[in-house]
Amino acid sequence: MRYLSHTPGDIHSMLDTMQKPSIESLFESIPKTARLNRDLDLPKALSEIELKKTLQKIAGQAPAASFLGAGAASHFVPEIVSQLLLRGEWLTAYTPYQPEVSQGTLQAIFEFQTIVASLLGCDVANASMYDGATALAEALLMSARLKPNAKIILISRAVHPEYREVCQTLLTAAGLHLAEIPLTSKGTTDIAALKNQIGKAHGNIAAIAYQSPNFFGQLESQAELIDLAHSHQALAVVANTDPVAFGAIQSPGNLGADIVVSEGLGLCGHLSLGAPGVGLFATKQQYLRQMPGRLCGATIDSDGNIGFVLTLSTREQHIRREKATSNICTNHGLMALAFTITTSLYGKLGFKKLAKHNLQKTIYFRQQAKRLGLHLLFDGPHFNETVIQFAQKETLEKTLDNLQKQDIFAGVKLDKWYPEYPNCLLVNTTELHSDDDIDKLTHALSQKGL
Amino acid sequence: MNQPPAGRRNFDFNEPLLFEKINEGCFGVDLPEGEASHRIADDLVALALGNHARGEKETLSLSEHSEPEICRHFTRLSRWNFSIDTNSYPLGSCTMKYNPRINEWAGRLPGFSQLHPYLPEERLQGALSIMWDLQNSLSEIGGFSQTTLQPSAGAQGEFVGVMMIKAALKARGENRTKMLVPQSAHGTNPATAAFFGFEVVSLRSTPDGCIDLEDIKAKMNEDTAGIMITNPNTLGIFEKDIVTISHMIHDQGGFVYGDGANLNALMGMARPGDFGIDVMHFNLHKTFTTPHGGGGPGCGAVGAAQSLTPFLPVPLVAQKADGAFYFDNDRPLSIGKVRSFYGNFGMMVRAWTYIREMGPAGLKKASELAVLNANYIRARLKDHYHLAYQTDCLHEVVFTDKWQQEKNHVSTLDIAKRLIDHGMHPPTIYFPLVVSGALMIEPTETESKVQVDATCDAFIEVAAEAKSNPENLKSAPQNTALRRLDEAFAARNPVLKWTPEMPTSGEAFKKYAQLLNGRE
Repeated sequence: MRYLSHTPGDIHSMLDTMQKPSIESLFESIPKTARLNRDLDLPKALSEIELKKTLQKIAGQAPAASFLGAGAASHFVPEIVSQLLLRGEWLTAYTPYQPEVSQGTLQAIFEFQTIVASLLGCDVANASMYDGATALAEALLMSARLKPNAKIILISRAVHPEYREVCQTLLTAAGLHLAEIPLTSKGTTDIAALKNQIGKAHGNIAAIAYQSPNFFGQLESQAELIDLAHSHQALAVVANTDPVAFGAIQSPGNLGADIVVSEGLGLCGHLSLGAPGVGLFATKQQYLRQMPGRLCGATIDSDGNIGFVLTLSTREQHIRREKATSNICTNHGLMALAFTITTSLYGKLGFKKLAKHNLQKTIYFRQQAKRLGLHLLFDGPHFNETVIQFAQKETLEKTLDNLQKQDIFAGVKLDKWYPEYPNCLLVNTTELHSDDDIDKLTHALSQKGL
Repeated sequence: MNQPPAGRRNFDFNEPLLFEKINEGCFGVDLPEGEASHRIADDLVALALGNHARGEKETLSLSEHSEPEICRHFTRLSRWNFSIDTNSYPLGSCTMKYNPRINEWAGRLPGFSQLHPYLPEERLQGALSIMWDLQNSLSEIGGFSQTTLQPSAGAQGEFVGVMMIKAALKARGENRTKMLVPQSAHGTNPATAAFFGFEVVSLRSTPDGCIDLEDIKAKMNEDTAGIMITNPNTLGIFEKDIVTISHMIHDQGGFVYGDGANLNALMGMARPGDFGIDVMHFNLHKTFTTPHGGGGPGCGAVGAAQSLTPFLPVPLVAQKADGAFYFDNDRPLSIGKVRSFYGNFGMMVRAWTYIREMGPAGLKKASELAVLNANYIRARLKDHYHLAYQTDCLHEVVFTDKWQQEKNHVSTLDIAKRLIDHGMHPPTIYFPLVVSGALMIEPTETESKVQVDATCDAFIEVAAEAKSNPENLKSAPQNTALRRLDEAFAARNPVLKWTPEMPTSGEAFKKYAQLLNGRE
């Protein structure tokens, strides 16, 4: 086996040193009743030659074209990102517990925290979470810690349905109640209804959570939502599923949001069926001690030079044990690095341009769609998602089937999560789509030849 | 200064923060230009944003560099990192074994890496077959009835496991309030139990390093949900009474949670499901070679015995009669969804690749050699360092600084830092908490005898130096770009991001950090 280097001679001499008769004798501490007395029932080993052929066959081809976003929008990530991640010093290092031999990872985390705090508009960001959904759940749990007497969390129905599901699972387990804020006919959070809900809750609200751009790509009235939360002593918690938007729109933190979370998947390079990406988490300085997850801080070494360490670990499980703010331990370090490299490559200028390209492509798609008679369900301020509604279910299904035969995936159907929006398709358009791709899509969707 | 043999000096560069050396006007990505859409005017773009457009004053802390500059920045930074690829990394409990590069190739195959989570299932059959296989392989390796791949890391796996126990108790109409956790447990165990409102009841160890059966007998009752157990435990010792312990817990209607962090000792030798574990998380980034990545991403798959499978999170990958795979969300007793999409699929491909390349015999051999290496280190070092426990160990061994402390006032931290000068990553230190000044060594199977000998030599030299020249240990590390870092200063004066005002010299930085935190 190529990963194992012990020769029979090595094994013999090691056993001699230990004065043990055999490797088997080293396992004597496992009682007979606990031993496995057969071989594992797994397929026999493959050589690398066989393995590569097998994997290539299973993997097959990437889809020919896709307009699927819905919380997992792809963006252009230069090849160098993946190449840099393959450097063993990044790939095969552990969590930087020994700072003197981990300054690379630590400085990169410090850079990541700086970038994330700035993108989300907050004072401080942590070293990453698993994904946007668990980051949102952790944000809401943190709200509940900050408002220990409040048990209700109001969450907009325009927050990604899977994020809401995850919050439901994790918050219910913590004894909190998650209530949904309904939507307006414009596909945004219904503020009038929210006011009504607040009235009924009698000050028992820990947080009001919304997403912007929301699941349908619509921009929420952030200032109003944040004010409403604050005027009722609740925290304003904001989710986002595509931070590229912040190259063009206001960052929630800059508008006063208390905790902002996002998902960096699209800027990490590989969708990989939705994960691993990276959860972004940022908050106000005043809430720092209740923030979950790892943090990297600057300090000095014994020679007086600036360096970096993991810090404020008294919030964490390995010190606080049952009193920790969260049980998170391993986070998404390598994906945080990918996110840092990608956003640094785009840089100040490129990042804004990237956001603008997303908007231009979406405007172009909407123009063409309207021109061909497609119905846009929502037409308010938006980023890079569009909801197209079809008159009949059969038309939608037939169109999707036809496109799928060409390995093209036109969008995500909404009815699975939103029965109130039947025959609707959520279409994601980004810098990756050429005008030509978009023209083909709009013509196919409108059943008109190009 | 006494120059140790392994660490050599080489090209090494100071590299400022990305934001400190802005190359104004530079960028590192070219986007396409010249299509009709790119000519859509700014006022139309502004119109699409309504009154949500980013303000002029909303700055972005991003760099301004060309691609070659970014390449060099991250290459230089990488060289300040110790890694498995660099040298021996015997961090106990972390299983720092070689991360095969074929795994990285597999994870990057476009047919896997470019899959969107909302593609129709019929377009995901390859990916689903990998998940199906991996679920089944892990069930076989761990001795479980069913395995979920959803949790993102071990801690989330634990979270899922304990939540399943809670759900199972609830389904029985019971509300148990306590959870037994040995003192030697990993910190995530009590943190997880406490999250679910369980009162953590600590279990003491016997002098041989195992859980005290009498203590379980005294504390296990019908108010107790069960026990969270790591086996082999964090001392690297197999809990010899595990079968009895499982019976004791089951007899009182409780469940046994297994922390799978130490599974690398057991592959093909014993299966947690067979010795009574009801639910256990695997760490694919430990046992199954997905890269540690400087702290993740991991994958904390969870295996469950028959009694707990109905409560596994959704979705599971299942197979239809015609052989097609699908995501099974129709599981009424499930605890629900614990993260977006389907778990860290990229890591699943890597773990699948590893298991497929090793085969059953290879996995067993890996555990055998991991245990051989650990015991060899134990034998070679036991005259130089105080062994925490005399009991036989499996894949890792715990020493202490007792002898060095008593004779030379040298601590575990000093020993750890001096090992760095010998070109080695220190072992896990001060864990488990039950051992004072613990040095926890886990070599893994991928270290050759030559390397393991070099590791032992370094430990022995440091032990000798502790006697002859303790100052060398206290002032270590001396070979690293930075010397011992002031963690207390960082915690008292948190500076967690760069600002334009952040100084680049140490003295000025100290003042800045104190001022930032309201200290004059």
